Amino acid sequence: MSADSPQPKPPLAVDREILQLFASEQTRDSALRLLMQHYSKRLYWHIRKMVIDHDETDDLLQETFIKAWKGLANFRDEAALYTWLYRIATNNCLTHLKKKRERFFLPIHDITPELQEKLSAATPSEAAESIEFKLQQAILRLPDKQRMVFNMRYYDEMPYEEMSQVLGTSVGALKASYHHAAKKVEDFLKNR
Amino acid sequence: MQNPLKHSSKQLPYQAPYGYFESLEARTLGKLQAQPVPKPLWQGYLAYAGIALLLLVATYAGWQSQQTGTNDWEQLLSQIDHEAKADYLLNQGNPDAFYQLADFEAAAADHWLPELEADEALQWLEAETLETLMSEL
Repeated sequence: MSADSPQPKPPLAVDREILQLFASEQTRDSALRLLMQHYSKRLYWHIRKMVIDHDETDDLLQETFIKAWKGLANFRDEAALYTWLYRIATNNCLTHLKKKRERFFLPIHDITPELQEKLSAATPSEAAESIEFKLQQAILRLPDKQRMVFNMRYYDEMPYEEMSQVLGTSVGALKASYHHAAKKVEDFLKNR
Repeated sequence: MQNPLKHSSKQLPYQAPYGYFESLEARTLGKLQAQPVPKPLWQGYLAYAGIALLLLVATYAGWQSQQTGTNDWEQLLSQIDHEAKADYLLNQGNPDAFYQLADFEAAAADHWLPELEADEALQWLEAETLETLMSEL
């Protein structure tokens, strides 16, 4: 029942190699392959934790790579490539979830029950009582951005400075957000 | 209950489908190749110029139609018999004058300054008629 283990943080040398391959018309496809080989798992789990459903994750992940591919020519390498990819994936996820809430011009639609159902459907029955499943149930009750912060910090163990670059939020605000999220998760699990 | 934040394995209770990552690369490349090729910049400018031209033509057509509407009004006004207008205004009851003015009023509501109320149009017509009568005296 374990998820694929996250890939080790890629060295900046890989980013440089990707950019070098991209620079030449003949090797561009190789650049995309290398990009996906190095980042697909990390980004998949980053997205999947937000949308839960595999098919939606698949669409968003492909969209992330396509957007990155189209924007790679304008990539400024003062930021790590993976920080930039995380940002694209994060924005894709948040926009996707927002659209789901606002569809058909109806009042804001609560998608938490839908996410909970997807979580139950994706979890094998033998894991339904596991601590990991209950933790996921609690996390799904958080607002999207807080959930994103919680996932990046708790699961991905991303340093606050990097999270700040990805989310465009100050380190102080991220720490406060994580603290609130963790408190809410604990409270929910205590009161069950 | 143990605190899950401290005791969870930090693993997720669900998995990615078997073989998913192996097929991702080919599918993403396929999707990318299926996307329309971005048009050269000049084609973009050409499209903008086309839209601007269409807007210009539409604006001109609208303006011309408004002009035509006004001209229609002037024509209609000239067709109203001055005597009938005078009868109506002086005697307050000549049926012919009444119908002519009623036509004018209905047309005013349809075409001429739609925001103008029919009775305002009538007042305007009366003023116009008086002016004409005064000039004829």
